[in-house]
Amino acid sequence: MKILKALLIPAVVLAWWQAAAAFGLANSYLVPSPAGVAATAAALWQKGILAGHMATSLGRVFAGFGLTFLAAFPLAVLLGMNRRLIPYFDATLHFLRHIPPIACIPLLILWLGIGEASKLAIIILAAFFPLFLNTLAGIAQCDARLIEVGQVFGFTPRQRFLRIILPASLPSVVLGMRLGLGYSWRALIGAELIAASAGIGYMIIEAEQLSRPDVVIVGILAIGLFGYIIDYAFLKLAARILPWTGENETDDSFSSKGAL
Amino acid sequence: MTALALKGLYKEYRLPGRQVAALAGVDLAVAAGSLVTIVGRSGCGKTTLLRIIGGLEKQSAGEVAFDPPGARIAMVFQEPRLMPWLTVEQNLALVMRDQPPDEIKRTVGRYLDMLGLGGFKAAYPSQLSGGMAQRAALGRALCYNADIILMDEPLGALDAFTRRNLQEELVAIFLKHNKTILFVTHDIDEALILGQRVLVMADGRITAEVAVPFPYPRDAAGEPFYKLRAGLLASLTSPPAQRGV
Repeated sequence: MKILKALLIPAVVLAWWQAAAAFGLANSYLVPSPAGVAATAAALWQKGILAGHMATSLGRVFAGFGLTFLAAFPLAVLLGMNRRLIPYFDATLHFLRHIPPIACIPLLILWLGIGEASKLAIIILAAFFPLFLNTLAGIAQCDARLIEVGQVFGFTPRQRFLRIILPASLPSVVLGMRLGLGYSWRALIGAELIAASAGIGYMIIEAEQLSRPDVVIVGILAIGLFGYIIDYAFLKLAARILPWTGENETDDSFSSKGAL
Repeated sequence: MTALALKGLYKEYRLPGRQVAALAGVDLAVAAGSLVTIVGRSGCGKTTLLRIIGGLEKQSAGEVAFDPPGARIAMVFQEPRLMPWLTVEQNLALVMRDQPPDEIKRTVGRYLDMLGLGGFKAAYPSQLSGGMAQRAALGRALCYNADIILMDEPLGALDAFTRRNLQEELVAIFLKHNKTILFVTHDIDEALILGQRVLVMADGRITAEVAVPFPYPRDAAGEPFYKLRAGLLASLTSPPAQRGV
């Protein structure tokens, strides 16, 4: 039933789109029919073009996200465990947080060229703050009463961190990772649209220059689909890593936020 | 033999514009292997006293001495404070971190069975009732093999039936393991059912002490408790004094 509910709106949009194409309500050159887009997707997949661009983009996202984790997690732990350092970083990080990564693309291309380094830098800028801020919040908001348990039962500061603070902050860390992955995926596509020679963003911009709206639509749908798959896989992984929380602790869907 | 000695224990908190003495000179000696209950109104300093003994707060003045020095202290809090990411079994094993795995498994299994939690060892704290969670917290304190167990109103949030059951279990554990237990409560009957000595706290001091000569298990509704209860009640109902300093 849940799947049927989820498929209702896409089905309505698809039906409307197909009807518009069938009755000639839209220019078929600008708005290709769903059947035409599906045929293009199948052709791109069979030739390995779609998979190749997707693999390039996914490789960049995971590499960039890994590098982000290596930077953001230790810094969040350092500040979370040494609150007196926070005033030194607070203003700078809040300033940087408000700069959209895409605004840095021109500068990054000037500094790093259009190769992989500039894409990785964009991903790091996009994923850093969700990961860093959520990890910091998880550590800072660790229930003081649980820390007291460690204190009474003779835990060393290291044991208190590894056995109490870190596991207690895991739901928040995982939420930050999930948000960071989503942000980095979106930022990467933006970067590939501007300067790249491979990747799903590049496929879209190249199709625009070749006047192939069907390929553009395939690219857009592939971005959404793979973004959804990554997010879903991460949610399932989180539920396995955090069995005591259920799925809602790391779920930032509209319904879990009370928006629906 | 004295397991715990407190001398002139004093604790003050700074509030805006004034200082408040939570403890105003507590002297106490607790014999090894005894069960002492402390009863008093809310805010009389009972919890502060336990937190200082447990090393969670530092006294403003006075001494806390253990025999042997560096004695192992365990604490059962008002709420279970189980780690939500660990199963019941893992929560108990958490405090036995330096022991060999076989010993941990054996000890944890023994206490889980004793506390009636053998069938819930794989459950997470969120899946337990309040009474079961508090039992698990008690099991954790027992697994730690502490010299002294501090209990800060551990049964206060439970319903009357669960509370009565756990009081009986606690007495059984005390009789079997002969631990030194300091049990804080605001319930006079609970203090009388459990304690070999009942101390009354008021205004940050120990103001009265009653030895309870009756054997376990006890029924506080019985006639012999009448005078003891009346005496304790009189001590507790005297008006509180201002403790500003």
